[in-house]
Amino acid sequence: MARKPAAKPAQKSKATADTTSVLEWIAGGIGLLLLLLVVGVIGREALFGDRSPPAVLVEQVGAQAVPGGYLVRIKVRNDGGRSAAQVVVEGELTRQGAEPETGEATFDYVPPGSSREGGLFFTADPAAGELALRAKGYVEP
Amino acid sequence: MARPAAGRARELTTAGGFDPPERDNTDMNASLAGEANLRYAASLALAFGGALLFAFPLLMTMEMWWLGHSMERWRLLVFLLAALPMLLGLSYYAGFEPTFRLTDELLDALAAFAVGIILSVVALGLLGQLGPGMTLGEIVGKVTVCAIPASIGALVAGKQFGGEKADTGRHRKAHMGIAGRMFVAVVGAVFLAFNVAPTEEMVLIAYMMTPWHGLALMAVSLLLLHSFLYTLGFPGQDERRGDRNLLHSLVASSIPAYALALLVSLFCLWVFGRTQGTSLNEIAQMTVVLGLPAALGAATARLVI
Repeated sequence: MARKPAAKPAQKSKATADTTSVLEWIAGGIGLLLLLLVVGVIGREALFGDRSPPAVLVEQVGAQAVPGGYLVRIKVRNDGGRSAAQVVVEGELTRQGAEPETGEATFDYVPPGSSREGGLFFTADPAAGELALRAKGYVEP
Repeated sequence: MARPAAGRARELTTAGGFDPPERDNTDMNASLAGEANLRYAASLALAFGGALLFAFPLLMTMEMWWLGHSMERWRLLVFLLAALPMLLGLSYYAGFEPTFRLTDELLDALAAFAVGIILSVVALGLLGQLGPGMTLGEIVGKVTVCAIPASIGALVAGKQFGGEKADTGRHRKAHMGIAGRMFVAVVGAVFLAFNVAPTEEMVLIAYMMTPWHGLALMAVSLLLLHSFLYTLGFPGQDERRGDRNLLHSLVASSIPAYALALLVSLFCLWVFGRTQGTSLNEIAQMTVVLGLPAALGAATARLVI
């Protein structure tokens, strides 16, 4: 696209500069709309957002037999107002007449109001005993 | 994805484009509106290409996804509001439309923001970073953090790939005053520093460095900035500056540019919450570490803008 500097007469660029094409207005309008939307969502959270500490709940989604043992699928949900990082979740499986068995998983991030899924492995069938799930701790991001 | 987009745009440019000499003497008004739309569509395609090129390292950085929801909302808001005047200024110096009027600069800046948002939504969606189980706040946060560098890329693309636009840009930059040069240095610093600013490595490197390393890095950054500006003869470099003596050029240009680079780097660290609860020494070290890419960006800003 090599162009000689004086190749084009001045009125050409003036003519193009004077037309704001319809598409330009549409693109600008969409931009303005998106901007207002983003500022609205973030601004509302900045002003009225929940600032309470993370409250992480762990629930069982399902359990199934897998090669080498059993898998308990879990879902962690953060009902607090702040993100929790490195959330350690422990499941303890107690059966009558056997040593309790524990499974552990760490979730990188659980943002407020959001949920993340994971799983715990056990050698014994969780349906045969009692499974207690809990979040052990977190780090502030 | 970037290449086909850029290629298509180039075709549009030659077909409908910037330089149709045979139409100059004929009835211009009839075809002008359609032509302007076509040309603008080509610019938009370029903008998407530029946004993708500049933002994809960040779209694929996990800290960016995390920052989207872990960043304090008011910092994110400050970040967004600080980016807007920068987009406006960039639209003036490097916009993807060869315009001078405020309405057009504003429209270009807004369009670039739209490009950034749309690209971030599509790319983050493709990369599996948006999905069920996330709140609106988390998704908007993630998209916004990524959209800001993407919209900078969208505007810079106008200068990088455009033919006629580059010429107009250069013409305008010849009359750039001290404020203009400072602005370009700041944008250049942001442009380069942003690629590494959100990563954990900035904090880690600062921890691992002794104060002597920090001082040495400052000296090297300043030396590099000065050499890039004056001795390597980059295009866009001001010819007259060569006449000044070393001390004068250092005090008049290189040191202020480095100071701006350090400020940009401090602002990035603050926005990403790296300064919170950190000792002054560590903040200074981190600023100097991020100041290296910022200084290189400030020195070579005219290459990209």
